[in-house]
Amino acid sequence: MTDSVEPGDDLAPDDERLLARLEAMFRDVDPAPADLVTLAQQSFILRALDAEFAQLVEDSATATAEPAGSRAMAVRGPGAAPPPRQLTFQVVDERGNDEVVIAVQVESIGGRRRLTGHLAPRGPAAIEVRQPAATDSRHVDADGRGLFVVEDVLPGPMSLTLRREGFPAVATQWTLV
Amino acid sequence: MNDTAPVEDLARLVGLALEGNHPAWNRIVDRYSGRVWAICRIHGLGTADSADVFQQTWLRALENLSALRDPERLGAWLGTTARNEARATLRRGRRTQPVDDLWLLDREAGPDHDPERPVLTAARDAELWDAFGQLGKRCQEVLRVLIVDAEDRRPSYELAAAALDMPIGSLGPTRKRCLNQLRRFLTEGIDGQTRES
Repeated sequence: MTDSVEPGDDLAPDDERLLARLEAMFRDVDPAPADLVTLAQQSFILRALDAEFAQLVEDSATATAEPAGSRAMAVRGPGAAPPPRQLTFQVVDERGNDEVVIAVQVESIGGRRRLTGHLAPRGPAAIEVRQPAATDSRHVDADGRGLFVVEDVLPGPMSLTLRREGFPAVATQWTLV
Repeated sequence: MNDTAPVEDLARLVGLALEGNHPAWNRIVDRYSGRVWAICRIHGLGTADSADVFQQTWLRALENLSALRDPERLGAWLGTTARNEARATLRRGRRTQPVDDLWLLDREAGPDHDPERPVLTAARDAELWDAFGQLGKRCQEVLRVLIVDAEDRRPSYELAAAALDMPIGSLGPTRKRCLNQLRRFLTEGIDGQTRES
């Protein structure tokens, strides 16, 4: 495997020693936190094995270029209310047609997120919200028009699983909210 | 009962994970965690954001596992994904940090941005930390992403090239140059001079 090839490498013993010291220093000072590593390992059970995949095809937060001198740093305090972010997830069939569209607006409310979504095609559905940081997944229903609201979503990665009568389950791409 | 068995073939681990073998997945995460974390850190993300990007990268890896059988692709894919998620997080603005994370809020990837040097037990570590902080940003990034805790004692050049947007062939020479610079800082001393970057 090419992973083991060392391109342009002719490390002197001095270099090796220095690298080993650096490595040890970072391991001491700023390692990947053990609880995060464990969480990533436990995420294995969050695989959506039997669901179709709805890809994130649009994200308003990445669509517009940030003005120079990014104002992102200013949006930090709990009082700041950034504009809602719009996410669009889509399942596309083999012929390239839309099968399912899940559009979600993400608002920051305090330290949490509120998701307001609608489904196309319209219609009732059971929605499951999965988050690695939450002990249990949450469940809400989309109404007859395909509208749903999820309050108090934790900031961090989330995925929605959508279940409807007569259709295969659909899981959205993991997305940081 | 030999825990120091030779490095397991990554392709085999990915294959096992795809079959539902949870321990195989754990080994993959173990092997790349330090590097993924390093990518979060070189982007200057605080603890909460780094944690999010770290989790997100692994969740997306699970989503894409079947396409990542080739270990070369796994390293590059993790590098690209972590980088993209880190950049997107920076663009969205940092999230509201829990109070106990505030001290880390302005902490950047490299020691030169870290106003409070962590307590380093050995004096020679402190010296190394200071010298590292004198390096240019690129050098800090390359050294940080290339060396971190390879269980197999090898850096992943694919991951580093993807994470840093650098041609894979330039990583070795760049690292060499950066090490020379670092060694000079170490032997000639820093003299408390702060370099404008």
